[in-house]
Amino acid sequence: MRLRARKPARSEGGELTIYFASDLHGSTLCWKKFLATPSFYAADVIIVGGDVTGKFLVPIVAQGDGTWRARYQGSERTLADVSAVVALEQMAEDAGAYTVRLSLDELGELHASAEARDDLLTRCQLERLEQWAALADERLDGRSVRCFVSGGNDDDPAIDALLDAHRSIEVPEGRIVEPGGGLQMLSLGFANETPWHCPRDIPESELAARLHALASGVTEPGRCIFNVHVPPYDTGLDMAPALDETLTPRRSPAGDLVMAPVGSTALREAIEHHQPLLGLHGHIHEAQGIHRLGSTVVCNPGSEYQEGMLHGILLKWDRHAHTLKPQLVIG
Amino acid sequence: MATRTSDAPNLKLSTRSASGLVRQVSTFDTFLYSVLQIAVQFIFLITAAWVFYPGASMEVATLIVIVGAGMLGVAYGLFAAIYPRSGGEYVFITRALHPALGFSASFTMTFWMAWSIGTNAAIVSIFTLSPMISALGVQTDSSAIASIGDFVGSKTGIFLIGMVVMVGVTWALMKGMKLYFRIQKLFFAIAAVSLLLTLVILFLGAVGAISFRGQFDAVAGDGSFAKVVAAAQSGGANLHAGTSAWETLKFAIWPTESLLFGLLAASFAGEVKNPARNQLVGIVGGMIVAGIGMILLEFLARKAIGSDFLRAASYLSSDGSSAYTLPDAKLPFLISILSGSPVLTVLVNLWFVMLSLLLPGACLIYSSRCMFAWGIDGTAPSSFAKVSRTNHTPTVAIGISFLIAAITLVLFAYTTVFSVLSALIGQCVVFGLVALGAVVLPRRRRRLYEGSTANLKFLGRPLMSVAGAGGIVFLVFLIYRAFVDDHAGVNSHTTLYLTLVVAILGFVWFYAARALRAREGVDLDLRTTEIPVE
Repeated sequence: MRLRARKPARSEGGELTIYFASDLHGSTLCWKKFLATPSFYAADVIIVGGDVTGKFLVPIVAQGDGTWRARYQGSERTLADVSAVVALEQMAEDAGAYTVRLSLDELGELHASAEARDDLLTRCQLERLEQWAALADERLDGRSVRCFVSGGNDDDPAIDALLDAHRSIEVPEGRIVEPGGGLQMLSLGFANETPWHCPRDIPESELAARLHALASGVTEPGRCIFNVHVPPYDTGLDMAPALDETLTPRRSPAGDLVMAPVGSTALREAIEHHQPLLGLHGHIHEAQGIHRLGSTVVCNPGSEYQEGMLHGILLKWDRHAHTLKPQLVIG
Repeated sequence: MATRTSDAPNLKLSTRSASGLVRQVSTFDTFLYSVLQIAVQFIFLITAAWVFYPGASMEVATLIVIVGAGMLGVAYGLFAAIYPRSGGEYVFITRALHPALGFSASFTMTFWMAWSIGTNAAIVSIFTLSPMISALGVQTDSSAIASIGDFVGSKTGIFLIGMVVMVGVTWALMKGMKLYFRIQKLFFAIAAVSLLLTLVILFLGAVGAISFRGQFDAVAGDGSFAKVVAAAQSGGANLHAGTSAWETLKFAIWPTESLLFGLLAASFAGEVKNPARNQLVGIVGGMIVAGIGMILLEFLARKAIGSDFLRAASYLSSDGSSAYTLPDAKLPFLISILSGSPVLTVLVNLWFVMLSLLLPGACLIYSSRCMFAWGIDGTAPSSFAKVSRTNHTPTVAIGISFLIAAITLVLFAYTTVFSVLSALIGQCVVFGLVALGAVVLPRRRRRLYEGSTANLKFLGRPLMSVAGAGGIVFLVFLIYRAFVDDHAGVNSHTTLYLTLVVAILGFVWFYAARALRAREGVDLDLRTTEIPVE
């Protein structure tokens, strides 16, 4: 009796293995795991469905006496030397945060200017993405694996061109591609408006228009993947705490969090209308699941990027039998 | 080497607001849950068993267990910092050792916790309400009240009251964890005031301001106190053995049956705020505070009631001897007698009642969260992971736990099956597996461990491994004692067979689920196997 985990066999014949993850949010550990999925899961196609950049800056401040100070994961730390700084930088990078070494004066300047902080965050995001893309070129070079990476609503549109410049990465944003196995895939990283006014938040009406324009190019919905970052409304893949006007989670009279669906109604209508084969979504980290909307299988792998756990959906597509077997995996 | 300090300039840089997982359970909630699972109210079992370990020190035995259980608490807390996901032992053992071991351990714990819901609901009647009402009957010399006490302790009373308790906690948990924890806080507040009063009364008894002897003789008849002691001695009870370290060590199994269960707060690690420290502080803090409370109670009970009488009454009562003429000899009843007043009797018994009322709910939280984790991972039908859209509670898992508990309650109330059953050995084995996982994890999952807030050192070694190793030593001793100590009553053939059967069933379930899912094209190993990276 097998007692050890086994690696799945490489896809053969009419079977295509697709791996989908989302919401890596700057976690280099998760990105490295993502690049390892062609070997680990024998995936032919690997897809990241948005929100690849992180959200947190961690300043590491020089004290002038050879030591450094930083605040990370809720506690302030004194770092005795550069090796300790490097260790913290590695830990933070694995968890998706961006560290920056500063002097006290530089820290003060950043505190004084929201624009400076935003610029710094954007620079850090793009630098890391550049490193990620170079790593992808190195690790996927010579392999017959297709790697699609989309931005999500949290991602600056500038990342699209950066990623597209690399030979191993395809950016499917706003177009229809053919990933293999007779499939088509339309991709959209925009989301319905959130309280945080993210870079790719748009009104539902505009989301509907973009989806309509994209979907009109689909020749066979029954063989189409909707790779849309935001999940469809009220499908169990989009439950999140409801917020009040101060962005504080609302509570019931009993004190429980009030949960509410926050997905896109436009996307739900589009899926109900077109009934594609599959919907791949992210956006709500804690709403992992595989459900159905009519005949469409809709999935959200969830995310635990801060713990370095890569959540994914592993799909086996048999083009001849027209069967799709999705599975939630955590690596 | 990194250290931590608290007087830095503002090192927090705010950039953009961001959403994220909102967790509900505070460190104080975890602490309270841990204290509740420890079930300080079961101290009456400790004082009742004392006589069978001549020379044992209750207080020192409890202190030994605080240290041993505390090491396990550190291991659990650090595990929860690395894996802040609900499921407790299932998550920890699966990730650190092997998925089949993890599931079997989880299956074992879930079985015994679901069993415990029903038995603890029954205990509300047997060991808290019935003794309190019986004491009232004695103090008021009312046969009507005494009859009520008898009814509450009868099969029908146990079943009815137990069912009311179980329906109540199930409803509260279906509505949401926050509601449950609010109720928990309210009951705990009432219990705290009652316990404080109990300690005051015991203290007054200990310093001689109240005479337990006088109070006992007043209700049982002149000279009854002395007669109880004499009868026990002539019946074979050893009331004057000198202090014995070995007997103290042997006696440690009794406070263990309470203190170890503070570990179960790890079952909802996925719902806690500040996962880096919540479980560590909550679990270990709960064990220390509850343990100190137990030591204080043990000390004051000895001083107030008298070591000789405490042991003699237990000895005679356990034998069903006619030399002990009152309806009960356990600590709640004796404290009621000491209080000397029906009003005070109710007030000093409230903490026994309140804490016992909360214990079935605490067990239900554990079993339902484990079933939820199975459903997510695919080792159980996906319906096990179904959550209410409005309350975000695992309704199916809670419902299944309730059904198992209802069957347990019926068996407990109307049969003798459960009089010989104990969960201790099975649960200690599971705790031991977690401890083993804590020993090996820093090496097996080095990158994950070193990148986590659990990366703490003790004398140059990973604290997690040290704590795990200490916990294993403690548990090996306990399991050995559980097998050989007939007074502890946890080694019946029924218990041993059922423990083995449940564990094996867990393995069978896992591999059957794995095979079934494989036929559906789903590889369950992929839910738990971490992708290696360079």
